Amino acid sequence: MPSLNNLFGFLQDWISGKLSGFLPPWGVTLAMMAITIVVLLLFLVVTVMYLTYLERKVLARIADRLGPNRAGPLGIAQPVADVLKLIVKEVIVPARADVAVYFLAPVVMVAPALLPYAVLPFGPRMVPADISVAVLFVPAVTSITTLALLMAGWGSGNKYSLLGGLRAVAQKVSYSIPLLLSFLAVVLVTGSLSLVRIVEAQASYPFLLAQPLGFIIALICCVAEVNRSPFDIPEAESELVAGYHTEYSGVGFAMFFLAEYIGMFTVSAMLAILYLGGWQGPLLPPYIWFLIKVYLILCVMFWLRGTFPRVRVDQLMNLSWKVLLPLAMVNVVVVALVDKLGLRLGFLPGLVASLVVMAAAGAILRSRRPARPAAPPRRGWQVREA
Amino acid sequence: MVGTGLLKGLWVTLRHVVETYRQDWQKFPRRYRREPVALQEQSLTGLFTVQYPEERLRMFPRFHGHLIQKRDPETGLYNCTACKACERACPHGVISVEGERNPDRESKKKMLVTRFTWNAGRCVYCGLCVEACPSDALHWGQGYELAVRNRDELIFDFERLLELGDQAQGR
Amino acid sequence: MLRTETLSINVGPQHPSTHGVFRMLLTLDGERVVDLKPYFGYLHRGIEKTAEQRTYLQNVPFTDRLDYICGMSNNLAYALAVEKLAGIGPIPERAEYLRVIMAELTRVVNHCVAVGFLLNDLGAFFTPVLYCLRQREYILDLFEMASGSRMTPSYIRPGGVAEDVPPEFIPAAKKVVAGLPAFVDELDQLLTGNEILMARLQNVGVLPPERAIAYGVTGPVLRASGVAYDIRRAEPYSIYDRFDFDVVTEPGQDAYARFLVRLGEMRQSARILEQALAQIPEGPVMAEGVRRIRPPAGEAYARIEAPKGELGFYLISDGSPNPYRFRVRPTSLINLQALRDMCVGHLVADVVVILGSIDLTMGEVDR
Repeated sequence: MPSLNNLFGFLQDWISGKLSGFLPPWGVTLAMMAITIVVLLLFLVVTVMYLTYLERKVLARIADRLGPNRAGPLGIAQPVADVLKLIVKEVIVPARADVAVYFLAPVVMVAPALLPYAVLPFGPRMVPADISVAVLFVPAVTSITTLALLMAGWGSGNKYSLLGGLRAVAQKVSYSIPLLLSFLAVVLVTGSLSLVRIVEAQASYPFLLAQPLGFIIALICCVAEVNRSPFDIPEAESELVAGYHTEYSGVGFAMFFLAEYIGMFTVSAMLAILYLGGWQGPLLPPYIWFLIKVYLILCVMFWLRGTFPRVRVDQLMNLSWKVLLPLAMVNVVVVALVDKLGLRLGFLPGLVASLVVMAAAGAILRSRRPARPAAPPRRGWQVREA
Repeated sequence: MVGTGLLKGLWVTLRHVVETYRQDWQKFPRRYRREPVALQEQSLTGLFTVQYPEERLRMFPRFHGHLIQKRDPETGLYNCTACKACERACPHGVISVEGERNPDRESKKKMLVTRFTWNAGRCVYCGLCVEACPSDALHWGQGYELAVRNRDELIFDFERLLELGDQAQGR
Repeated sequence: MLRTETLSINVGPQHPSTHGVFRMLLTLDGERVVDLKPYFGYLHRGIEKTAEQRTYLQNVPFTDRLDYICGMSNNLAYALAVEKLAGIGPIPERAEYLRVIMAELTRVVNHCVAVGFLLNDLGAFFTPVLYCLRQREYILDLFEMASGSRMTPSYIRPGGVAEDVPPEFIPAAKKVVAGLPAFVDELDQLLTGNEILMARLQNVGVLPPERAIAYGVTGPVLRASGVAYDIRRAEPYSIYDRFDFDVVTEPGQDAYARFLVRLGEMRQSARILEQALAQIPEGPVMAEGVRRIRPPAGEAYARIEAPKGELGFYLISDGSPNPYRFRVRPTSLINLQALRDMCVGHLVADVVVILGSIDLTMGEVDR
């Protein structure tokens, strides 16, 4: 009877044992790869469908209402209904669209979004490919989706979509840099680019405690990377420019939607692995801990969406280049210094240093706020003393 | 500290979420009721939506639902005297009344109503007709589920109005 | 030098954020607005002309539908105009108190909608809207209790009010009013200090007080430019001189100041309501002898501090039961004139925010 902790390891051994009964070794490897891919894709698709359901429920509860509760008991069949609707919807191709680019954009959006799952560790033996440069691989591959945004904007043949696509690209590129710098801080401390080694290095305490500033920067950048509110300019309907995916309906739109939620899961997973300790945790099986942490970050993203208004485009760029990038660079320097000092006090030196930097940054930002105009003089004829 | 405003806002929404779950826990398992719900309790948090059609809100007595014609409870005769006060009061000409003298000279009812139509589709539900009626005949009913599939069905005639009045009074 | 061209963009009648059917033709230079032309009239229903064919009493339902969010205030302005024209008076005390209560409740309703939908335009995913609409529901329930209809009550009539409120109204109203300060505090906590909101609203849509007065802008927009002009103080109507309240003014001149003015006015309305509900006497609710209104020939103009600004009715009578001229001073239309001034020089994304901060209702702009 396998322990729950080792469930997937046990399953892997059992299946490969059965297969090697009638397949040569290279056949077993191929079959295992195929099974892993199928299982991962199924898991992702089902997770993403139910992420939309979870989001709608959480946003509804924030607004004192119930969310979907009619399609099936407690609304569980709602994502199924949504998917069916999107599939049978008519695909309207605009007349001035660049057809090849228009049809390729959703593909270029979804396929690279699925690639990072080859290297994300769900548990100690649960990573399809434990490559030693995973931290480099994941952002590199998810950046290919930036091209898809541009393709969608151009291929729609609509000048507003083009503007929206350009804005989306600018946003993604701007927020990638502080994100990578905050990942760099973690890599500095661990000395390895491999995600499995990074998780193993957090056995005593998660890096969140040692580098809270890095975590906050990474969280803001992750939210901006996946075009989530409050940074969802590219998809906003109440903005003037329509957004890069306006001209898509039916399956094309479903692909963009799917890619966005897969991206959300990916960045939450990266945050969980790099800062929250991945699959480390007492009592429960490791993959359960991993999923708990990822869903925690996803709920934080939903919470942010439900509470905050949207940031304007120029303020978005200001935030990234003038605030987050310097902070991220300072963070790297501070982490390196603290690491060099070599004090064996666990996470305390890092925590203290981060808090000092955050306080200093807060003071600088507050002193640079524009002044409010003074009260103009009151004129007598407007107020009759009661 | 920069960012306290954001954190305060997050705290407010978190309170709302927690409160809805606490309410759910208190009312478990009876999530939907069948009887009409009265005026909602004043509070800042907690679930606010009404799950129609399982739960319905009870309307106030003065609610402008639809028109009804009332009868005298003892004699069973309708109260309307075909005086056309409602037709004159209406800003849009939505009510149309025709009456004739009662051939039965002994009866209390001097005028009989030959035709009384109310176009529910054109009415603005202002209530000037109900206020104008001198004989306690035209009143407001409380129903609001008046949707029909055919626009002609929106023109209520006298029998229909009397029927709705009987339903309202019989309850 | 590079030769650049300006771009004309149509923020069309169908748009999620134009608060009704409203069209703006923007001329952009890059991302900055160079010119703005508003096109309205999509909701024109010919109320002023139709009202000439109806009696003064039959026009009361029309006034509900001008600024459809604040039905009671429109009724009050019309009632004051007819009373001035026909010399109806004095209005019984209970009716006056009921009028003030209804008018201030309407002010809270309107500001709830204004603040909620301003935040919707800013992109907060419907949450502040639903909090504000939730509070509004309690007040609309009160309106339904009193008049039978939530948004088009036709309750305040020339001479008083249509009928007395049921006995459960005053205790219910006291409960609602008791909950109002906590609601405004919650909105404050959620929104006022929010850095993103401040960054979006501050220094956006600046309207200096001289320009505001020159355009004839009134209401919260004027008071947010620092001009402390409130008709309830400048030319008190009904019994407003008996109540103790402040005129909320902000020096900021921008959209953030308008937002703060609206929140502050909700608090002041709660103050007035507390006092009115405590002092309301018993008595009749309609003046004596108000039957078929047939004013002598003449003209009258009456104005009130409606939630959006100065709402006035100018009535000319020629001695017949129908008005000869029924003219509405449309608050939203006159406030709309300042839109171009406020938007020029800002980014495209700010135009929607400025439109939301002026708080228009197309029913009043187009009539």
